[in-house]
Amino acid sequence: MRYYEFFCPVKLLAGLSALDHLAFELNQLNVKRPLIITGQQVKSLGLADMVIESLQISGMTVYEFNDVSMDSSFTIVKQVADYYREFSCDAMIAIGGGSVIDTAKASNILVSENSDNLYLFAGVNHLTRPLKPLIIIPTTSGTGSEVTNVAVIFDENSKTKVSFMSPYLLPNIALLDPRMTQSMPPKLTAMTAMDALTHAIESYIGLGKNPLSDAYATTAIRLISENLFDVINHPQNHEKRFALAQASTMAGIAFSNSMVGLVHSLGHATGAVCGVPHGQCMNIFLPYVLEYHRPMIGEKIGELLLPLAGIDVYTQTPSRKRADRMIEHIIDIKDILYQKTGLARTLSETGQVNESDFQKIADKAFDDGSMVYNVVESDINDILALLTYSYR
Amino acid sequence: MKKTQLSLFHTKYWTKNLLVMPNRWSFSQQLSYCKFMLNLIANGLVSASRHDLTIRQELQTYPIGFTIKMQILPNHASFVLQVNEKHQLMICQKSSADLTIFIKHLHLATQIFTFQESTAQAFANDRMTVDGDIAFAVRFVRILNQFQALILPKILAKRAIKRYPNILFRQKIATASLIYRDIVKATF
Repeated sequence: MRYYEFFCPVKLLAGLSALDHLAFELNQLNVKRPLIITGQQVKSLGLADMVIESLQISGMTVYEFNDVSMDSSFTIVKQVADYYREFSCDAMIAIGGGSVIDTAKASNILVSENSDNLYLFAGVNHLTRPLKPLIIIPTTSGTGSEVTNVAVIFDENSKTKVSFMSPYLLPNIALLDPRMTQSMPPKLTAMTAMDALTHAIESYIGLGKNPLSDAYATTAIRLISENLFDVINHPQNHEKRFALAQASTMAGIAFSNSMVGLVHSLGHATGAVCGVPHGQCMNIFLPYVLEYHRPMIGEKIGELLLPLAGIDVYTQTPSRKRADRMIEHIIDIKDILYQKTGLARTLSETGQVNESDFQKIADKAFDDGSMVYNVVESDINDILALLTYSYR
Repeated sequence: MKKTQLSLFHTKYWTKNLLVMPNRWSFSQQLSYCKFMLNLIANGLVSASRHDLTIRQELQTYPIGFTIKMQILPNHASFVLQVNEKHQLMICQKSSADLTIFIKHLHLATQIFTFQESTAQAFANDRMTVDGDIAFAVRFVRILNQFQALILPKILAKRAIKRYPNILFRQKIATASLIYRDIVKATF
């Protein structure tokens, strides 16, 4: 009998008008002066204003920092922390995608630990006490950061991505309101959904899988499969958008308890070396890495054909062919997304990666934390071969 | 039903008898065994960092003075290794380290050191926890893997690591004998 641990203490406010419950929840946490952290794009779409208005009606003094860029960086984190201290705020509300959420998590470390040196807390388990209240409102459906204990911040000086991992980085509340993901453009929708799909699949096939993470992972895969194309075709469909948002959160819960593997190692490294967006990397590498794993864990991969392709395809496919069919199905999804949104299927299609970058990417991927949890031990040559295969 | 007789030379004998035995070991037996194994690992790593090319290459990426600790919680047994100027490991007497791998319980340590599951699986099963930089931890896991591949018979090493590396039998024997010689020298 296997031992496993499962942990997700984040309170989830989800569904229609979820936003209207936020003021009450903040009162419960004794918050009076929250700081909203967001980016220019979210601000221009009026999403932050919806939150501010909702909180002001409830008599709160709300502050706003809306200059978080596409990549969370040490400089921005410091600016947010300074802003928080200047106005004596007592909680953070992150509204945005992965970079905004990670910026908020890292800024929360600085203000809670009363420090200006983020490096003191880098790595695993360097936080020893609960941080200030943090509320996360994702505006994309992919990262799952609203339920994970990780933050990754770019250090401009060393040009490296620095990871922070601690249970204290989990937010107090995650809020999923369909209005918040409504304005996501089709390509970003596709990219983030493929990120969530990868979280779920890697969670299911990884070393750290357990029955609970499997339940979340398979449900997330089914929800993504059933709703992704509908959302791409009908972006204003609230129900389908919400289903994707839930899938993303479920995949986040799954992988934060089972960890991810080689697809993420490759994605982190490619993102760091060439600046390719994370979701795009996941979309590119996922089927090739599954193909690489198929000889060792074909049966496990084949099991995922059921949530991904549905009962008809699953039962009509002989068990020995299910893994191949599963991989083909993902390649089909990639082709359709490419036609509909232009989401790159190979490294060459991104226009950001050269073959001369491969060695650097492979070296970084080899040292990535996700490698430990990958079910297969890969060496540098395997990683280089996968990069070459993903380039064509 | 006829009982299967297991020969001493049969793999199943060891799986059934030796590897399952730790569940019945007393506290003091477990403690003695884990202390012995930690001593073997610490001195073995010090020696391997001089004799094995793969481990030497991995250690090149660690800064000089970097310290690595392995501890069985709460404080049953531990060792601290430090990277010296030649990027080799040496045993040091510090109590804290830049990277610490904690094994959560003595019984879990016994399971790990009797090769009932791989180092990676032990991490995945939350038997161990890391305090420190993730990239250095990943490299240290690779060092441990290579070390186990060198000093253990292939049949046991395959249980302890995810993928048995390409090591020539002659090379394995030569390096392992140097490592064991150094362990004996350091211990007695």
